[in-house]
Order: sequence, then C-alpha cells, then structure tokens
Amino acid sequence: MKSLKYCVIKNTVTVIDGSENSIESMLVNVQNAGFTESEVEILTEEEYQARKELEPVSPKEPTQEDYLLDLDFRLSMIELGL
Amino acid sequence: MSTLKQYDSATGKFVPVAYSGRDAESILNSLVAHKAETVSHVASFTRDVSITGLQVIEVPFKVKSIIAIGTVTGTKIFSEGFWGENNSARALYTAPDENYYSDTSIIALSPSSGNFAIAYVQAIEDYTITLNWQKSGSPIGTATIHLLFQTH
Repeated sequence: MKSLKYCVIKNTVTVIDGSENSIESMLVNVQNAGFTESEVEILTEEEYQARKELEPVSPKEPTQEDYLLDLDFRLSMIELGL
Repeated sequence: MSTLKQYDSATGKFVPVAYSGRDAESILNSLVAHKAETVSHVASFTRDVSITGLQVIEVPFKVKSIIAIGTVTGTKIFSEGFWGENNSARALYTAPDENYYSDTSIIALSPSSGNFAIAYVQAIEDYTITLNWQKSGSPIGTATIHLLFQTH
C-alpha cells in the first residue's frame, strides 16, 4: 500500500506535494514549482505532523463579528456607568 | 461456458459472434475482464496555495472524468469542481464574502479577498494527470484537495 509523503521546502511546512505520489513524481513537481532537489525534503506523515506542531501559531485576526461584539460590550459598559 | 451469439437475419438463426477476427469466447472473456476492472480511484493531496506550476498526480488508469473538492486548511473556503473528456471544467467556490462563484477551472480557492489559487487540468496521460496551478494576488495557506477519478 502506498503511503502519504510530504515534499516540503527544507526546514519549513510549506508543502509542494503532499500525496501518495512516487518520489520521482514528487521531484518532477518540485522542478515544475521552480525549486531544486536540494531545496526540498520529503517527510513521512509523522515527521510532517510533528513539524507542524512546532510551527508558531499566528494570532487569529478578529472578524467583523468580533468587532461588533467588542463594540456592544464597550457600549454596555458605558451605559451601565462602569 | 455459454457462447456469445447474435441474430443473423439472413439465416434466421443465432450465430456465434466473431468481430475483428476474434471468436465469441475471446470477446466474452474480454467483457468479463472489463467488468472486473477498477473504474474509480480516490486520491488526496496537500499543496501550498502560493506555489504555481505543473503538478503531476499518479493514477492507476487513464482518467475519463474527475471530481475535485478542496479547502484551505483552517478556513471555510471551499471549492468543488468537475472535469470531463470534452476537456471542459467547471468549479463553484466560496469567496471570503461567503458567496458562491463559478469558474472554468477544476479547483478555485480564494483564501482572502482578491487572492486566488486556481488549478486547470493541463494533461491526461495513461497513468498520470497534470494540473496547472496559477495564482492571482498573494494567496496564503495549505490546500487540501480530494479527488475522485473515473474511467470506464
């Protein structure tokens, strides 16, 4: 059975090809994406997931709903004189 | 084994079929083998949406049609598309304004306003298909794409 592999830019979690493709096809996709073989590495599913967990999570950008909820909260505070 | 026959109007009888120099048993064996063939295949891949270029995907047969669904991980962005042997594709995708839009690609992802990653079917070979990824603006994120390939 074929296994899932992740061809990523070295030391990153930027995936060029995360699939069951053969390594040969992955390297073709690397070239097609404008990278060289030395710029990438092929990780197993476990290695990729482990690296992803180490990635810093960027703070979530507030949505319009978040802004409205915050505004409503602030107005309520003013109305209540708090 | 029963013999494959056809009606011969000249003689008024059913006679063994023999097309292209093949006897009836050979044709019947081909039909039985064809019925047992795998005619569909599901595959998935992930790919950073900022990366453009051709992407080869291995398949176990020559593809006749494709259904593709996809998202950008961690978002509500969604794309659903089809491709057929008339070399035509259509996709419906959700944009950041939460409306659905139509496209002539097989995968269209818009992770943020004005930024698109779009895939077209570039080539169909015997055991591979090739997608051509293009982008508009600066799309960010990792796409997860599920594909159903069909043949006959």
